[in-house]
Amino acid sequence: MLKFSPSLLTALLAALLLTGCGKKSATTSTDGTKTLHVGNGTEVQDLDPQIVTGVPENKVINALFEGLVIEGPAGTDTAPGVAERWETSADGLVWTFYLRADARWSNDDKVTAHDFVRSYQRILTPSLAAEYAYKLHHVVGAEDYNTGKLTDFSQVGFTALDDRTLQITLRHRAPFLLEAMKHYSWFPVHIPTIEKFDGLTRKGSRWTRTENMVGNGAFILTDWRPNQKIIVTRSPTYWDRANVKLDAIHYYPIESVDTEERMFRTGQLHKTNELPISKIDTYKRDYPENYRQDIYYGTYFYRLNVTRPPLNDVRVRRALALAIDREQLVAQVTRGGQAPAYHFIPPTEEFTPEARLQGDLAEARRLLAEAGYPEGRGFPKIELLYNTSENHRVIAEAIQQMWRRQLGVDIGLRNEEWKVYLDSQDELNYDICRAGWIADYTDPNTFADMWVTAGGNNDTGFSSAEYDRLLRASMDTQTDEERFAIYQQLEKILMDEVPVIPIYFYTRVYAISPKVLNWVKNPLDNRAWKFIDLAE
Amino acid sequence: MFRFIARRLLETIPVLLVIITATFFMIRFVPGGPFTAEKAVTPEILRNLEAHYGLDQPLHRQYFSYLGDLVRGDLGPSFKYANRTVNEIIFDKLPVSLELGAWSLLVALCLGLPLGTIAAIKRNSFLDYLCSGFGMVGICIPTFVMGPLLALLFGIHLQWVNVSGWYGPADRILPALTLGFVYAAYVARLTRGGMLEVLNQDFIRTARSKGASEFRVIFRHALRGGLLPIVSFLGPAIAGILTGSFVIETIFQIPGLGREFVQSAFNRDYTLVLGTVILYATLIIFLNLVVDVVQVWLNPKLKFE
Amino acid sequence: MAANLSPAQLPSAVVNSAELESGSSLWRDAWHRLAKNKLAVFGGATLVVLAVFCIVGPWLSPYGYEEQNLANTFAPPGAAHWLGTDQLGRDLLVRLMAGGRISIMVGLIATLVAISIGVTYGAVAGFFGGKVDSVMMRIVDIMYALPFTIFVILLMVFFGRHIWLLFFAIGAVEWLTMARIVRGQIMSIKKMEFIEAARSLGLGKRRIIFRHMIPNVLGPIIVYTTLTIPAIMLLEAFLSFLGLGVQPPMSSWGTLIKDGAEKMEEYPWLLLFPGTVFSLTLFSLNFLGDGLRDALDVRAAKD
Repeated sequence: MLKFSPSLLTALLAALLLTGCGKKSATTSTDGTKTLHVGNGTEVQDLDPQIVTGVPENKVINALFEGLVIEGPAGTDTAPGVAERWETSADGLVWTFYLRADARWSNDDKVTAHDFVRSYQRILTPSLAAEYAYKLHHVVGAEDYNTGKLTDFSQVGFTALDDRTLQITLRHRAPFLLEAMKHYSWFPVHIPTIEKFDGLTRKGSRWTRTENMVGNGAFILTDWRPNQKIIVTRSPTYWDRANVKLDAIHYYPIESVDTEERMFRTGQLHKTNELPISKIDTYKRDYPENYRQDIYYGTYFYRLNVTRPPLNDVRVRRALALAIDREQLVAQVTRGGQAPAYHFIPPTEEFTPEARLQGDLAEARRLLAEAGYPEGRGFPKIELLYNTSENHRVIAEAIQQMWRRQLGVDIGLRNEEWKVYLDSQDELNYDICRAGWIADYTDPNTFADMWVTAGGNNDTGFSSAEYDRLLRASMDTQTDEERFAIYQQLEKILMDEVPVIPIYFYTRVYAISPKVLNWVKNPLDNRAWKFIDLAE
Repeated sequence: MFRFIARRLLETIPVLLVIITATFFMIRFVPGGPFTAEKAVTPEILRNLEAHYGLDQPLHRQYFSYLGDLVRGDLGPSFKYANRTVNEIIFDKLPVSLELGAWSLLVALCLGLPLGTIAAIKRNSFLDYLCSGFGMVGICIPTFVMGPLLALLFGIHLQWVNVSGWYGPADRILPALTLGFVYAAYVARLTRGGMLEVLNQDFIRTARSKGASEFRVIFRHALRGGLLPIVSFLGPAIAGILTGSFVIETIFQIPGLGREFVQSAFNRDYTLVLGTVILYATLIIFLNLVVDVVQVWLNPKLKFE
Repeated sequence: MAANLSPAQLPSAVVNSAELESGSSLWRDAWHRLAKNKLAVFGGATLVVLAVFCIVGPWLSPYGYEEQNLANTFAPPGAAHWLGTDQLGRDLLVRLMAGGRISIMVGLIATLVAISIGVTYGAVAGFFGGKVDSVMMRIVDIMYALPFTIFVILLMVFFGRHIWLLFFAIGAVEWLTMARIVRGQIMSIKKMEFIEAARSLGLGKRRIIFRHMIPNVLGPIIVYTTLTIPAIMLLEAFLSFLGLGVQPPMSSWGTLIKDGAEKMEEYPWLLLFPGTVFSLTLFSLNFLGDGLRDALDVRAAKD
């Protein structure tokens, strides 16, 4: 046995060295084709735009399907998709989309207005139980059909006037409709294909498999190896195929951010999904050309359970909110260029809240004393709940310390596994609870409507008749000025009542190769892949 | 022996049934369900979802219909990965985990057995400390440290292999080493301990005094008895190693089954949890049976009971 | 004298076993042998030093384990902070010592729980054999297969998040392999002559198991125990991920190593020091374990 081992060892070493020499990084192309390699977070649930609910799915579906409008090349604009133009009635309730003649499915069928109507019928069908069906509820009759109160789909506000004209009637003015339509829940699906595989209302039918998939996007699905990668390649039938720059995109589901960063460093990826916090300083210093931090339209905040003492006292809530040193927190703990949040709705070019959490530390201490806990004496033992994650933990630890130092209150930390945490939050089984909210589309509305009394995403017990009344009124406004004026009032109520403590506004921090061109900033990290290019 | 194995195989059925039943009900009582999400769905949609998957039925009916499907070999659809069935997920990923497991086991045994044996023969010598010390590496450095360390060294600094992925043969090296080291440590320690128990027993002394060569004494006589604790350990260990490792698969981005074991529980993917548990249980039961048979073979004084 | 004995020595073995019960010189002999084993003494001494370091250290440190200094995050080892600071500017040394209290406690208590259950269970199953063994081992198979994550979450749902639950949860999984190992060993010795002799003398079953059989399989038990302790210390980190056990800002060696592993390139001291202390503990444990094994092995001593 012994005499074999040296030769075996040599063979092993040779094999190692050979693979070593032969190895070239995936991101270097040799045959002139342009293949983009991107980290994509977790494995996708499915690729049916009407079934899935996640962010990784969004990235792939945006390559495989195209809605009426798409994100524009500048990142904040809107470009025509299947619709070449559109118009709105004077009252803003009726939208008409004119579809382009050359829009094609990947099996060469034409994309028609009927496809859209039938797709919308499918997503709203109660027995399909699409989780994002509610995103279409702005349309007349859509909610009733979705909840089974209405069974005749012709009464829902989607009409195909002819093959190339789609009319959508809204139940209230929704100036953000185009923004909302960039979400995949509004994308068309190829009904005949779905019908072939177990019918329209079965979740998880096999139509999304590589061999069956029919889409209408700039790319087609070529390979899908679960937990390994998804490959899409340029579509030969896409209407704008002449302007599609990439030949292929490889999406890698990589759950570990450290693994992802290592893959980026060895050239296996062009772009990561995230960057570990511990790497931020290194990248800023040593690889600034690879470091990106983009504003992400969302807020990191703490929910306060207003139904339980002592947090049912607004003075306590305000004291806690004021005692957090947000500047230090974002500079030393989160480190990714996040903006400290002194109000709840993140600022944009169109809308910046004027209301602020008012007051300093002295005010915080005074409020706490007024509430009966001078210097934190007698403050009941309450807990801060967060879902298990390194990042949430350090933020919670830092804030816990600030409260102890500044107010003398001792707040325990409690971490729970994700779904247990969601359940506790939903059941109001917490005192203070970490949360985050990323907008569905870029409009303050997606932040304002969370706090309606007993809303599904309220989860604080907060209830204000004035807030509810103003929110309803905002739906009937005729102009954005009026609407935004109401949002200013809503924000003011929030910052007076403090059912939530805003902490910071999100950023997305990632590494990207300078070879990737046209990678524009988008507040929702949503993009049309056809504009992306790779330098040779 | 045949009757023993036949009886054990028969016992498997009630054991599996207990495991399935317990798991089925345990997971239903855990807070949060497959559709609990950060952005809450409306109650109507939640009702539709539950109706779609039959979760609106009384629990006992769901249980019996699951058992019915199971008898037909159908583990049901995954709740999380909407267009995959549990059967598909397992058949897709099990081969990957089996391969990784096989390589790791090879590393563990090729390293652990010799190290442990040498350490036992040369007990309390420098060689013993060296072998034992090396064997300890796998215990002192947990996989979530060893994996990134190896990836940094061989993937980034030396650039011999990719830091992660599961494509070419070279991609097997680092994960197999990382996982193998842990088990090698256990094997080495247990072998050393087991060998020491045996080496001083009278039958070994007798063999020695009859002039049997040291090699023969060790391989013919000592290893047999010395392997007993290892064999007991290896039964469950092999079941674990073959069904994949969450940590290793995450670090090296390997599409194996280990991740599904952990993630399915976090996702409350009821059917996938049950599917993986059934697979693991079957393996455990089977391997423990093998262990019991091997133990008799190693120690002829035992009989099958 | 509770070791495997040749048939010729049988009568005296049984007599000596009785002697053992009356607290004979066996333990004293073992102690003497242990004291002569330099490595074992070194291992034991190191463990004592580490334990004292962890128990007393935090009181002597000028810093609290939870005391942050956001102006001094990720400071490398230096005069003010001998082992550097972490992401929140906390002193690593004091966190390492405070974490050691938790890890040593968890390592000791949970291991004790796991070992007592495992050894007793395995010995009983192995001794009785037949149907009893069959049922007991099938229960072990069942326990192996149940999904641990779900089990732990359910425990917390029903019993809250007490620290004793941590020991119970760990004990519930870690005894299984021990039980199987002990059972295998017991079965292999139960047909040996000295056990038969003990039976023929009419000794009670409990006495045979605990006085005659278990002492004879102490070797594998000690070895596997030294392997269980590190596994348990790391398992504690996973349980705190699920929300059971140590809550931040308290630390443990498992969580410190886990944190350090994610930052090993940028801030190596965060991994290096906890990793070193952890390894040192395990090496000492193993030296001590080996020494104990040798000391309790009568035959080896006679060589």
